[in-house]
Amino acid sequence: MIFNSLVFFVFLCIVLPLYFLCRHRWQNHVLLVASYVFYGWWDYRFLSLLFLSTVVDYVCGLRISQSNSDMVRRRYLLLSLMTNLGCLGFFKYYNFFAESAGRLLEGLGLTVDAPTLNVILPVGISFYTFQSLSYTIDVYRRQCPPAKHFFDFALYVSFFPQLVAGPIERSLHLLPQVESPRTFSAQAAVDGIALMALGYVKKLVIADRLAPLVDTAFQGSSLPYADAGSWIFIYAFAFQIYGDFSGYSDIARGISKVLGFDLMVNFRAPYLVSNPSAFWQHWHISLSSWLRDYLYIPLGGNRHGAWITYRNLMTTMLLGGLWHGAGWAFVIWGLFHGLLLSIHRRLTPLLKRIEQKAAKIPLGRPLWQCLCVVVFFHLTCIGWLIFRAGAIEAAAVQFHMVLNSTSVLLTPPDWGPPLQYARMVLFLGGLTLLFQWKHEAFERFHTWPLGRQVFAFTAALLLITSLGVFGGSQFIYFQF
Amino acid sequence: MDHNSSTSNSNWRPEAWLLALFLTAVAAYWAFDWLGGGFVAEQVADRFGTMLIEKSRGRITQPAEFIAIRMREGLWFIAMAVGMIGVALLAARIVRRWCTPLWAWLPLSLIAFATVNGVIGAAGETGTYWMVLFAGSGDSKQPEFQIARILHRDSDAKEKVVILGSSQGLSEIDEPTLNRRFAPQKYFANLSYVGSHTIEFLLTEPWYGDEPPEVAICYLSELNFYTKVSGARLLPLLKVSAWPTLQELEIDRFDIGNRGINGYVASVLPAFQSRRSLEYFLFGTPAVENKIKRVQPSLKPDAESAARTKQQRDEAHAKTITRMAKTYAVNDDTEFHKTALEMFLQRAQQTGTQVVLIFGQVNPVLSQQIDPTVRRDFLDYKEILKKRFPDVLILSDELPVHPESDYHDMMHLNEEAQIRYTQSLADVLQDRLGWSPGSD
Repeated sequence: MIFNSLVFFVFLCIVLPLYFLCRHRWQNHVLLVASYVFYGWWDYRFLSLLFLSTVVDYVCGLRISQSNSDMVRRRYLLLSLMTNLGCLGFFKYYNFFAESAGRLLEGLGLTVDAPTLNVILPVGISFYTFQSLSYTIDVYRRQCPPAKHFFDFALYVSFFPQLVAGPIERSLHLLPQVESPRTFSAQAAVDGIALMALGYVKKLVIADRLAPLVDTAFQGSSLPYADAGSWIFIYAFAFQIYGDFSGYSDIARGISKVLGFDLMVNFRAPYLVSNPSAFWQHWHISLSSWLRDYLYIPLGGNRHGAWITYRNLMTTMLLGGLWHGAGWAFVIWGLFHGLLLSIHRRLTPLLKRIEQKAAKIPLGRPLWQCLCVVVFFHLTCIGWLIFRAGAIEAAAVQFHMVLNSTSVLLTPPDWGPPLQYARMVLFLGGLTLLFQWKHEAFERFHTWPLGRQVFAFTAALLLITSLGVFGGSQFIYFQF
Repeated sequence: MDHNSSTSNSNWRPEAWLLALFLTAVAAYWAFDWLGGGFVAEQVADRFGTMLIEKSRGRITQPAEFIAIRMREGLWFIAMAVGMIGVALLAARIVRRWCTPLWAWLPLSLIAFATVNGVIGAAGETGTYWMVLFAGSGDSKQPEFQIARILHRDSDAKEKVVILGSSQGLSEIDEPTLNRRFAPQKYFANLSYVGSHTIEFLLTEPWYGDEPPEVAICYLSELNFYTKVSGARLLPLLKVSAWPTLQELEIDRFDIGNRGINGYVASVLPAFQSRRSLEYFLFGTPAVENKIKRVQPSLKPDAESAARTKQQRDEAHAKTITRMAKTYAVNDDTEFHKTALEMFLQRAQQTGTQVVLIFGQVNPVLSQQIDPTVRRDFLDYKEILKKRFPDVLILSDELPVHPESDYHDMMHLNEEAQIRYTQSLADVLQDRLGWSPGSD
């Protein structure tokens, strides 16, 4: 079941009244059943996987909290890690590793017929696995108490608004909300409805409208034009993926707010930041903070000197890239961001000095910041190029074409063909940037003056009805 | 001073201004001709008339009248829009009385949304709106249809003739040629809609205006009867009033996906109805139709690879024709299309509209690949209709048969063949319906 389908609206129309008619404990039961229906709608067979992960982590959490023996505690943590990562590894990475190992051995002159399986990737497995894992790790670290009731924990793992594409919640944040009675807040409900409307605009108007253009442009291994004109499609993908993913997060957070839950903010203004470090504080925040807390910091973070820090950054981002998909292009995308973070870390003192000098010139500081935003946005776009290419060969060809397009300074490209698509990309890109610029304001819709509220909501309704795409297309991040 | 100005601000009542504007617009609408609107229109027509005739490819025959109507409809639109905004403001005032401040935005937004849709709906009744949305090429199907409909509605010809059909109806019959032949007694409007079968003939009826046309010419080919019902053009044409017709035809038996829902939503939300046209207007044809042409100057083909590409293109073309031909079949869908046509003929009889059915053809290249039973059934059906509807003029052998060279693709004639065909049609109509050529 996807948020942009008619069946989801019917589902919501059934779940919401039932939910509000019940008291707290029954509310949780209603949500749990609804969550399993929501997930099972896609493929009921994978409910068993969700259930397995829930049972194992619940039991492990209890055992870890009940035991004082470090060995026992570690054993149960290991069991949880092995179960979750084992499922993830098998369903998501088995074929990738089998094929890669086969190729490696082939390169060494050994012919091995690595068996590959026709494995279906369960939707959202990376999301709920990480969410469930964070619980056992937090319990192990004694940062969070174990769940009191199994059904509460099951709801924590399977809460339908964020089950298949995040935000990846933490036990410290979501579990107490599940366990304690929720009071209906009209202000939160108003903000929730506004967030849902914003999410639908992002998904139906921006992402789904750009999707066919991007799909056609990235078909095959090369880009449509061998000059700077191809940038238009890279921008289009940058806006599409933002609209798609942050749109999902907004809808998820909006529904949760109406239900009385407060999910973490997953996106701020990722295309208006000036450096890679800020980017990861604005893009898919729930994943980047997960990686920071459970990977980067345990690896040593920035506490052991520059080179160890760079190593940790590269390792974290490599695994972050691999989390997105089982393919070398995702690994390279992760490494690319790791490299950007390391270079930025290295250059930070120099950049600060330039900024201080620029500040002495009138308008120098804002101009410098604008330049940094533009440059970093283009670096992000190069990352998206690798990400969208999917395969390493295609990424290499397209990357070469983009590098080639820097010759725009020497030989002007033929702007005619790409300009035909510029209107759409500019219009939808403009909307994207507006939403990023005003992202904080959308969180507090109930505080807006009435006239602005009416204008914004009417505009959202008009945009959806007149420019929305109602094909019920999947969200990009479902595949991760 | 400050106090006074703040008092005057608090006394400012938008409703009063809107009422004044509404009354002015209404008065101006009625007084238009009396105030010399006709004179202004003539002056404008003197300057831009020739250009209008050229741009409309003969669809606009009297520029001064056309301009006068556009000016009058502009005033009508302003009056309607202002009236609707006024009503919305009054409704908003009432809603705010019983709504808590926290939730007031929701009903007010819905009122605003309904008002904007109302305004777009009113704009949709003006030719100017559709001319603005007209992208100027074959992709402007809806504006093209709407402009033709509005010109038909506005025409003061004694007899009005509508042409119905699919894109074939558009490419076979050149209505300016007919208008030139039979003006000013008759006015021809081509209301063919790309992708139409026969259900669309019924759906087009409510768009005619107050009076049914004297004559309806329908261009039919295998396309109208032997392809799927699922391709029905419901979104741009469907009106809520067509619900009983669709139920009578049992359209639910066919898989039309979301088209039915989309069609009904469009019929109540004008913003939704003109969405396709708006897309083209805002984003341009290449972006909407997603026709990215790969331009790679470094990879200029040599003669050998050019020949290979041509061969591949030819093979792909042949495959497309075979695939197209396979979509034609005699089945349940055919019965649906036939029932819809007969329902249309019965209604035309009731309203006194003379129907002319042209049993046409598709490109012989495609025709040869289509199952022969299809053509046989098509011609048999023609004979059945002749018996069942003796008042209907059925044309087939009287009109020229198109060779392959007349077509620019599998369905559509080139311009030269279109003119030739239309002239032949005009001769036949003159002869069979006793029409006389125009006398101006």
